[in-house]
Amino acid sequence: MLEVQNLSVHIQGKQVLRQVSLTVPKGKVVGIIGESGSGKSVLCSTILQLFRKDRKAAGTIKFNGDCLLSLEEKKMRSLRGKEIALIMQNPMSMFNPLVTIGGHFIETLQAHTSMTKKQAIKIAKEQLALFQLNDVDVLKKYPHELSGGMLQRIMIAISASLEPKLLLADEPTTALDTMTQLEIVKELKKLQAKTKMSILIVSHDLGVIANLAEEIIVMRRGVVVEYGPASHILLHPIHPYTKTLVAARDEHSTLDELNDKYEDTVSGELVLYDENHWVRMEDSSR
Amino acid sequence: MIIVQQVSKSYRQSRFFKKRQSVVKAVDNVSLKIKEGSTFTLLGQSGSGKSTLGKILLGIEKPDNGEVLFDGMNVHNATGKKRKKLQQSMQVVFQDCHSAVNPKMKIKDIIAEPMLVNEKLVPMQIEERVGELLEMVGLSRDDMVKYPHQFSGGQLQRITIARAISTRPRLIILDESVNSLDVLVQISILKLLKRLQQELKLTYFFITHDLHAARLFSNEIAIMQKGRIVEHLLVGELEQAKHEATKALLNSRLTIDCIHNYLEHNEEQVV
Repeated sequence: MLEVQNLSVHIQGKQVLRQVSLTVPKGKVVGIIGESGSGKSVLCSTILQLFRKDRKAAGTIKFNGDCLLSLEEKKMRSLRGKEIALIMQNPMSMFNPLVTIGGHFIETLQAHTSMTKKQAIKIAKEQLALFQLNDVDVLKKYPHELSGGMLQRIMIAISASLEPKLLLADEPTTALDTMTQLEIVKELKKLQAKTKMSILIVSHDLGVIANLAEEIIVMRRGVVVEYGPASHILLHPIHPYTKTLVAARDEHSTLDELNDKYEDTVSGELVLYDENHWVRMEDSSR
Repeated sequence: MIIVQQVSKSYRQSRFFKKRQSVVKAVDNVSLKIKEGSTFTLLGQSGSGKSTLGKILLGIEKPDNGEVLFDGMNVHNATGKKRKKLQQSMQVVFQDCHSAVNPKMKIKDIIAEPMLVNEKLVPMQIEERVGELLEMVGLSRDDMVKYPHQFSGGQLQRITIARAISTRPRLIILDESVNSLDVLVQISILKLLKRLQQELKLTYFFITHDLHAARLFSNEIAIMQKGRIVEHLLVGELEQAKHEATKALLNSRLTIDCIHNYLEHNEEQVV
């Protein structure tokens, strides 16, 4: 479905992504984990071809046979939202404070289809019902009247209303507290099971990724350092950075046992370690 | 060291064009004791009144009822020299380090600001002290002349910690201090705080919604829900928690243990 190959991105002459390759198969959930500044979000916005003018991208991004990097802006526009949807980190700042929730639905739906307002509202109600937000009042409310968790659920509902084939979720739970995080993860899981859409989820929280993704990509400093099935990576992490990340989530360790440092290995080649499990290793460590 | 006695605080919420006001009880009859040199964690969901209680402890908000005693001194009635003394011995580190520092000030001035309120120092002394503080939090002396935008979130949080310890406080209120940071940076900040606690004999009041951080870091945990403290336990007793709110928090952990279930599930399918 989505195929990224040898993608390198330069922003203002600085390299932020180096030779990133990944595939998101149809109906699968792929998770990207990495520290802040590792290029996770840049990857998302490059897939959507946002900020095109400021970025120099090399490589290929293929989505359903279309090569996104060379697609003209007009066509790209019809893909954004309709085929590829994006959920962002901070739901509070993603909504227009002067427009009601219903207005947001209408705007999104009318941008891609020739729907009347009434039809749009009908779809909005159906979508909200799926997310247990049956309250008709929600549509008349303004963003500031709702909590962060609610807004994030509405955001997912809006992006799902156009039935996109691929959902990019850029840190969808980071700004929320743990209980709400769990709810959002459950919603996403339910949505995925129902619509069979592909999801690319980005987070720095291994817990979120572990609960959703079937495949995990570990990124650091703009390169992929480990790539493989979730079960492999979580049970037998190979790269020192992944090891530290997994250890940090261990329930039974104490603060003194945990590491906050890791060897700096972003060089070297990606080698096949196990079935479908790739690790970037330096020659000496092999 | 700190005794909170039956403190309540409510806010009036007025609606535009509506005459009736609704009253929100942010903190409802809370009593607790914080021992010197320990870490007391207040755990709860957003909106449960954690931060309001933190503000009351600091003396920023006045409670409607009850009192807060710091070494026997009432925090909210203190005046003059007593008040100054209290302000020196209590400091706070917030969640969002980017908005907690003035972007137009140099790091030196940011860290020195609270010291200068309380002491008269000549520039040489200031530089010496700020340098010491920066080294204590794991940064270098040369960072003094830089501006906030030159630092990452984790480094900036170290700077706000340096600012907090500059007045040689005894209690530091950590209001979600590590929540917006990366997992590994979180651990490094928690480690730093723990080291400082031992070196400087600090007491921490740690406000968080993250059970994992609370478990790693604290001695005592109080769980807050809708303004009330519903359960109070030592860290080791967490698994035996009785109250629903605590259990809900325990169950809301997104652990990586789920992968084991996932594997078992898949094996079943194969069979």
